[in-house]
Amino acid sequence: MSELGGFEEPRRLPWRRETGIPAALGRWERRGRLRHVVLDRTLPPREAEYAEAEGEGAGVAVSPAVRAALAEAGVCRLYAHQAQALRLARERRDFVVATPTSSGKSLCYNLPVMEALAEGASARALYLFPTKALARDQEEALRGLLQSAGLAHGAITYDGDTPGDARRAARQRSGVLLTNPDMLHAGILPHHASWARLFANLRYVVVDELHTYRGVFGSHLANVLRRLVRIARFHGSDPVFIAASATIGNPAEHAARILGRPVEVVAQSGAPAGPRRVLVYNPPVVNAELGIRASYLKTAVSLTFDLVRADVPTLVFGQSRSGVEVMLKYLRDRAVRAKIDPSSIEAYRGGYLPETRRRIERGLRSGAVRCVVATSALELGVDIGSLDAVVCAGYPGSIADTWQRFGRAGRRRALSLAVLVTSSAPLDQYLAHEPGYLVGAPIEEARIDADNVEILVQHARCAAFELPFEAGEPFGTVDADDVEAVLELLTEHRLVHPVAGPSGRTVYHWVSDSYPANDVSLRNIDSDNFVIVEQIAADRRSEGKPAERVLAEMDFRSTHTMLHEQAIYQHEGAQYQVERLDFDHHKAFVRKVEPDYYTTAMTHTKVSVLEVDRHAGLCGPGGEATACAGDVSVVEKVVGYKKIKFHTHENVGYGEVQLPELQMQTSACWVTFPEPLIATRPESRPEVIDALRGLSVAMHTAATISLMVDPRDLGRTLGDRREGEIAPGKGHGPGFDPTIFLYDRFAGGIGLAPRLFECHVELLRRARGRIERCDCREGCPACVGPSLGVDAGPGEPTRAGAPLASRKALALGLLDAIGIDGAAAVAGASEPLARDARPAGTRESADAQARHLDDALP
Amino acid sequence: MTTLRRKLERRRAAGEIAPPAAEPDARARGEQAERDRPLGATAPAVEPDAGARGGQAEQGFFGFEGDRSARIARLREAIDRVGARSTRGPTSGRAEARGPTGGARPAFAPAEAAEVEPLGGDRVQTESGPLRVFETWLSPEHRHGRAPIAGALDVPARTVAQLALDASFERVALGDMLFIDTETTGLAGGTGTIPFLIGVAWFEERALHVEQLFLERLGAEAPMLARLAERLERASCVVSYNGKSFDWPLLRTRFVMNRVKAPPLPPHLDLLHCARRVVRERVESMRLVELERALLGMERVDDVPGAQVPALYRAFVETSNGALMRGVLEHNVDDLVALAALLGWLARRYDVAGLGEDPSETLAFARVAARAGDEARAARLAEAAAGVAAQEPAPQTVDAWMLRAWLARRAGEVAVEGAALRAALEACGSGERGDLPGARDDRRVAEVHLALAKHYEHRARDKARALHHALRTVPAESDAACARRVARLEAR
Repeated sequence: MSELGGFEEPRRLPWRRETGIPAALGRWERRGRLRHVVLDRTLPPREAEYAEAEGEGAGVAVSPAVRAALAEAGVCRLYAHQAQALRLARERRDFVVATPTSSGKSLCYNLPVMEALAEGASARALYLFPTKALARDQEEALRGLLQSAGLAHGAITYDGDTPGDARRAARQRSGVLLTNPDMLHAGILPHHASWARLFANLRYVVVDELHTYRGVFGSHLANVLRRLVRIARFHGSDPVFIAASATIGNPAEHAARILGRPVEVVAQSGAPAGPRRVLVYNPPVVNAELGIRASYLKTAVSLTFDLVRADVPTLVFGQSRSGVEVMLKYLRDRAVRAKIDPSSIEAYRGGYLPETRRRIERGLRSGAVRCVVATSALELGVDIGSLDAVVCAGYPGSIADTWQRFGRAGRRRALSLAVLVTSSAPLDQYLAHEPGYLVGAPIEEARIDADNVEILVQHARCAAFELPFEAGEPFGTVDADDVEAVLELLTEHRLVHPVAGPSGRTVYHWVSDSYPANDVSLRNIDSDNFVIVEQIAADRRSEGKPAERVLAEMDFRSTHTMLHEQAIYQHEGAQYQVERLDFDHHKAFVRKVEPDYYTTAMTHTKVSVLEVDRHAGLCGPGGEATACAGDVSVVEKVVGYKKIKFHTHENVGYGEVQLPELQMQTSACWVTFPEPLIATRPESRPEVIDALRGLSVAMHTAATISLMVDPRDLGRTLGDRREGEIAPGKGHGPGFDPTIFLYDRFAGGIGLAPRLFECHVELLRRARGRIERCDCREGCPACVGPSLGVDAGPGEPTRAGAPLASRKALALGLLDAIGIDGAAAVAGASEPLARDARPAGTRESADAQARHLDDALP
Repeated sequence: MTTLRRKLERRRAAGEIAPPAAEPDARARGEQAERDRPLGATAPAVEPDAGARGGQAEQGFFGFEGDRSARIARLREAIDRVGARSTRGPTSGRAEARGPTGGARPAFAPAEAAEVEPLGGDRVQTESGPLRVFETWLSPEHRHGRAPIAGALDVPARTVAQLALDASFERVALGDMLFIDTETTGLAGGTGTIPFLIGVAWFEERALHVEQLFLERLGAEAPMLARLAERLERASCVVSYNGKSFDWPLLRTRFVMNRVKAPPLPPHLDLLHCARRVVRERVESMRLVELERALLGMERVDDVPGAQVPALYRAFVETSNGALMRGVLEHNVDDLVALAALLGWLARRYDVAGLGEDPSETLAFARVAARAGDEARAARLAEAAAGVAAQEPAPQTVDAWMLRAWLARRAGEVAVEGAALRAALEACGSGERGDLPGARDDRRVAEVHLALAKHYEHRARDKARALHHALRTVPAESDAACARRVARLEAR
């Protein structure tokens, strides 16, 4: 079977060779590569489901103008989900579309918007995209549609790059305004009087890529939308909200939280899809002690190149810009050696102009371009063209993001291939060992906490600036009483001033000489970034004077661990040493160095429980443990750093760090192993503590993957000091009860910990599964983490020659003791975290699965 | 679940952060200063308490700055000083009763009745409610610095049209112009920035009638806006300083926010733009107080700095102490009067320009005239500017001759253009005289050569001279463009 059908002019090389996906797969098989494949699943093709087929034709009749526009765009019949979306919009119901990539999602919102525009010249719609590039892409597509439909309403992207004239046009005339949440927050809402025409006629608000708004960003967006609704109401409109999301586990719940209202879900895609073969490739272990695997970049390059040789148009995703550069270079080098034109391999960087993209698309169609290397699917925007294969070098961080990349390849009919090459990073290894998550029902949940006090208060400030609050007024789903509490705080800070209003109710007027939106960055809760300044030694080019240049910025939180003095800061493959950290002025001065080590900060974290909201017992043969959720106070302090030698990972020195503590109140989920339970263990106390620390690493990884969060957003620590304030388990007798804390690493919390509590049993089971199935001997970053040694804490007795190999076993033993046993890990698939049954493949050990796959392949 | 209120309380109780001491404004300004400072420049000394944070990083309390009490106390003191001074009477000491640590008690608590001075002015009943109005009359002889304010009335409409680069002013009856200046709760703009004092002024006979509309109570903007609309309706044009980008957008926003239809704005003369075209090079900044000092010889006594106005109004809103507003009201009157004086000054200078004095100002006026289409005046002023400056070759002389040449080219006066360009080259100090201090600017010289090359090639039609200059046009044009020009000339 040949894939050449997709090429208009297939390239021919002078010698005969096989082409197409089967040829590449055959080559992998012959070279023994498939041994490292831990998942091989062919997803069946899906037939198109048209609206008419369901007898809904009458319900989805579109106006002639819109129909003409659709015909021009090559759409003759609506898919079932598009028709469903249109029906919901006509009923003025808010909804979220959660269908796969390339299923015609944007039509689900463009259709109702076009209808509204066709009905009236004054109608307006607002589109929100997480990036500028996406907005610009959609602007182009939408303009085409509007023109074909003969609609004179413009579509204008309004962002920081919009020139002054276009801004005026956007305010006055544009039917559809495309922008991003940051611009809405800081540029539009605080000036809403100038946008009166938009807000007074606002029919639809479209929020695309909804799944990207999670954690802090999502919590901010929810509040920006609360402000938007408030302003729209002031101007007399009540828009319908349409959201579009990648497939995640909780689209309706997530959309409802972001939009602050119940929503309908359109989840069943009617778009056809060809069969898709999905492979997860885990490069072999090259260092068993440290759990280090062969380079995933090189592996991805090698796999990709086999596809290129087989004339399979392939898209490769790297994790970082530098990764993309490296892969591009390797691929082109290999192309030259194989006498293939290296310019047939293209890079795709963010911010490419439409013309550049068109050129690449044309190249792909003509066969002149066979491979495109890109960083992020979001930067790609709309369809880049028809590709047959996607290779992801490294796990993109969430299953939804992985599928967004996978979705860039795929034909309506023919077979396509999607390969994920996992790196040695913990999350990647987690997925390599539970690859079924990738193809099973969506298990990820996007979480936000719109009522996070820190975020809420910031947006209440912005809202008060935009329009005075009246006593008794709610703010989105925040009730009037809570809003009043916030307003009292703002009054205390002399930001607003209460005045008896005309209706007799108190009105809170903004009285401060500030522009609050400027102090609030949606992408990060701290607005206090540090600037990293490189000091360049005097040389000829600088005319004998030492020079400085700004290398990068870093958020406040990361500063403590990444930019302490003497730290080795890595930037684009080069190393810099921090010479001075000017904490008061938020600057770090670094100098380029070439050390043979890197540094890792040693952080001391102290968690004190402020309030227990919920608790549950965990009973097992060895005793009883407790899981709790509630509010905690966290003090993080960097106490020193270690120098770790490159390649050998030897510890070659320590240093002290003097930095202020970071303190915050946040929400946490914790599991306490009471003293009596610890006492029954035959192992020494430090060994048990070390094993618990390892368990916390596994729990952290499992939690990270379930909640789609950046691992840094979820804090982890073991309450391991004999201090009364730490041990939360009052009622468990005096003394020290070791406790594993997982907490939202944002002041006020962003909704992660409460969810972790709800599924703590499943979380522990997944952690157990991770430890059981890891290939390493005594702990690697992918399971329980490398041992810090049982002499980790000062004051703890050191036991030289402790049997480290027992560490994983000990962690498992502790789980046995509280009733989290191995059998349950398999049987527990129905627990909340995996509400949807997991695919059978996950139950087998990775090795067995790989062998099984080898057998299964032709 | 924990209610929001409880969480807020707990955050408040958490440690060292004392909410009333927070002052986001001060912080915002500090940050601005921080951003504006070039990298590597020495930072201003940090407040003494910066080290005394008890080892705790500033986490910011809801994005408000936590413990910057020293700076805030200083700011408060400044406010109190202003408040005290502006009372200007035996009661002046009372305004300080708030004390330097005003944060110790809730700032919004109404001050004791004894401390509060009345606001003054008149309470006028309007259709949409009561309005606080302050009226001031300035006699026809009143001067602002050296400038008589009634001079604004003697300005010919044509002059205004030229200064404003807007021909529609030629038909405006300037006797009915309305000066307008607002005091606001902030400088940031947006819907949360409120003009609390709208000052308008107009001439009656030759006396200036100043009417200040004051927002005594937040939210009660309707009467003020209605009165403003009435004044605008009667006005033939509006005169402001930076009103096009600041005052008017804010006022238009207030009309929308109060659901009052905004009146159509008559022609708007923004003196900032007019003055900038003329005096930009002479003054340190384009702030109105700086202009009146440098141009009109006006030194205000005890003026309230504009930056303090928002804080003073907030203090007034919180305490109802009229003493706090006195200085602000005076400041606003001064600004309105300065508008009238400045307009008169600009027009007078424009009409007498070219009679010696400052060549850069003459040149600036020449440019204004050229842009306004008064080419005869522009040519006269350009020659005057070149002539005055010619004694000591200066960059303006080159600019003046270049402007003269441009005007000549537009008028089709080939000989005049050639003469002006040659004079410009002369003034550049090109060739052997290139050692004159400050006269040499390679790019400028090349620009003159380029103009000469074009002049000789296309208009004077002198190939040899054209070629001579064409060889000297880099860097005013690219090497390639120069090569093309030379090749074209050589081919002839």
